[in-house]
Amino acid sequence: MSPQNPKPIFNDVLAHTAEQTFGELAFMLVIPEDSPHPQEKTPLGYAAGVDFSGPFGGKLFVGIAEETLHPLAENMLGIDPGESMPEGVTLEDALKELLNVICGNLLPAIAGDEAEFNIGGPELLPVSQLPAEVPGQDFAGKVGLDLDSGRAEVVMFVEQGAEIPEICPPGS
Amino acid sequence: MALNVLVVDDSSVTRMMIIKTLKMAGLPIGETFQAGNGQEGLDQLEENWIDIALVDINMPVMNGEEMIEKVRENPEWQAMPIIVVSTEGSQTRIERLLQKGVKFIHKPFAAETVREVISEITGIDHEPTESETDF
Repeated sequence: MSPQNPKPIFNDVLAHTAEQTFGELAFMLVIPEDSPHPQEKTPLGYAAGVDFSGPFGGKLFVGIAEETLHPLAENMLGIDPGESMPEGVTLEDALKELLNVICGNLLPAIAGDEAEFNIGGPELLPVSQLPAEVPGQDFAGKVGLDLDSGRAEVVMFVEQGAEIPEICPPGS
Repeated sequence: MALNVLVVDDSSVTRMMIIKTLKMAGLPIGETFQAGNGQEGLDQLEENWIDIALVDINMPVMNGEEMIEKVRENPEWQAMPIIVVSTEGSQTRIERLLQKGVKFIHKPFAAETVREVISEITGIDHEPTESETDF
């Protein structure tokens, strides 16, 4: 893309959607950047990625600190800390569903509510660091969230040359 | 009358969240059945008496839209109440689903929303929960 037509970066809508999903799905609060008690930048312990296709395709990743996984799953399921998970449910399933909900709410926020996307099955990644690049795709945004239980990162990539509707203005 | 409920979602966490919400909502819930995709959902319908199904859209093997189409084509199941519980944001796709006679609940969902939609679609009111009778 030429400098006159810069690649859209969706940091604001990414941050808003992720913050809303953590809050509504898992009752986890995001600590403001200017908090007098910022979270320690612990390494990510778990990560997952999901492919999407539609008016434009791409990939979304979410990573969370190791100490975030238990509260995430417990809050989503409404179980007490330390209580065993229901049969057939794993902690990592909570991370995959979190990613699914972020992705499902993010895409219409970018492309408008007439656009139809298909979201693949979220997959766990065997890495504790989110990818910095994806072959054939352009970087489209990254946010870090300090949570009341650890922290999270979300990264988005879109297919190179994808036509992205300007419902959500570039830079937002 | 207790409702037998089928929950179809590829996320085990979401299936569990929905079942827990149903049990806490004061609705007369009988047996609950689970399926990880649309095909498994159809298999469950073949094997069990189901009063209401809650179905996700994006799933592997067979998605929720295909499953709903097959349910509506079957004379035995075509009147069964179906609630789509999904992150789906496309109004075009939601409209298409609504025309098949389903209700829609957006993820993430509030427990009250699930309760209200089930009461509306089945005509069965919920029994007051403990917190509601405290007042």
